[in-house]
This record gives sequence, C-alpha cells and structure tokens, in this order.
Amino acid sequence: MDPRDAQASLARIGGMRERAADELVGHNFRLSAFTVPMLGLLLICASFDLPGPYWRPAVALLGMGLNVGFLIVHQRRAPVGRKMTAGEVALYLWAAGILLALIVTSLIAARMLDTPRPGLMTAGVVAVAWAPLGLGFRRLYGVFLCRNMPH
Amino acid sequence: MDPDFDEFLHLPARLSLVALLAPVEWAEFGFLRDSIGTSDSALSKHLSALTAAGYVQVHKTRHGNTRRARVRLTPAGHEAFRRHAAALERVIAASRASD
Repeated sequence: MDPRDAQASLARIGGMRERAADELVGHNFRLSAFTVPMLGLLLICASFDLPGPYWRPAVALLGMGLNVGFLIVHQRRAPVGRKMTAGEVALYLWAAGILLALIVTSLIAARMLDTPRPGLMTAGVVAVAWAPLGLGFRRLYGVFLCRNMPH
Repeated sequence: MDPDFDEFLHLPARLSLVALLAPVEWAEFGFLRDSIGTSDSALSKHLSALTAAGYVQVHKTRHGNTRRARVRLTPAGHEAFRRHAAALERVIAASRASD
C-alpha cells in the first residue's frame, strides 16, 4: 500500500473524530442550551422572594420543570450520543458546585445587606455570571473531550 | 499486505463513516450524511454494506411524522476499525524506517 494513501486515510480518520467532537460540543453548548437553563435557574432564584405557601414552590417547580423538560428534549434531539465518562461527570459536578456556591454566596450577601429582594439580586448575579461561566466551561469541556475521546 | 488491513473498510466513505462512529455511542443518519457530504441514497447503500458485514447496526424510530435512524458501530466494527487504523500506522512507520 502507498504510504501517502495510508497517511491520507489516517488524516481522514482524525478529521472525522474532530467532527464528532465538534458536534458534541456544539449541540451541548448551543444558544438554547445556554438560555433555557438560565431562565429555569432565574425562576428558581426569584421564587425565594415570593410570599405564601403556594407561589414559592409553584415558581420553583416551574423553573425545575423547565430545566428537566429542556434536558429531555435536548437529549432526544441530539445528532450524536455518547455515554459520559467519569471524568466528564466530575467536570459537570464541579461546574454545578461553582454555580451552587455562587447562588448561596449571593443569597447570604443579599440577606446580610438586608436587600428587599435577595432572590432577585441572586438571580441578577447568576444572569451576569452565566455567560462568562458558560463560555469558560464550553472551552474546558472541548479541550477535555478532545483529550479523552476514544480513537 | 498487512493482515489487519481491511480492503472493504478502506473505501473513503466507509472509512469516514466508521471513523465518525468509533468515538461515539451512536450518530443520527442526517449527521453522518452531512459529515461525509453524500446523498441519502448513497449513505443508505454504504450503511447497508456495513450492516451486512456486521460492522454497524441501524435503529429506526418514529416520533409523530418524523422518522429517525440512529447508527452505531458493533463490537466487530470497533475491532475491524482499530485493526485497520493500526495497519495504516504500520505502513507509515515502515515507510519512514526505509527512508
């Protein structure tokens, strides 16, 4: 066999592997995957300020329902599927931990400052931090995927 | 010729399909078609050949009016692809050693 043909075939294999990785990252971090979960989270944060025994859980459940529903539809529409590795699960848990720490810190700060709407202030902090955190995580996930995707 | 070299798999479209499927669990028909830049009918022919060889499985589902086909590489397909890629690497290594 011609070594140049072998080289071209290996290059094609590498290109297709990158294409699959790009599709995974592109689908998981498309615009709707940025905005809908943020809206769900904002609803959950805003529910902290609501009065009564009904409105608070109702709005929080609406936010959670939005996120769970979106996750199901997002997975069903995926053009490429792959089981998450333990490393990817750890990466997602780490990102969720950062987000949770941000929410708790904002809520505590808002209560210490005695703001009239601590939930709304927390929602504002989450909204401002969402884009840079999301873009940073997308970059990190892309690098992680390229290094750990099987050949 | 290297015994691991798979003449059947070496066809560019088939090799591209298997290379796309190797790092993932499954891929949609549309994604495969767009990635290798072919038509629905041409892709169907390649998938039929790969299915007959036992290298891929096609799972068709229907959601309302939408029909979807998910393609996955079988363990035999994974093994054939791994061996073929290794054979290609050996060809290049042998060529470098002789230079």
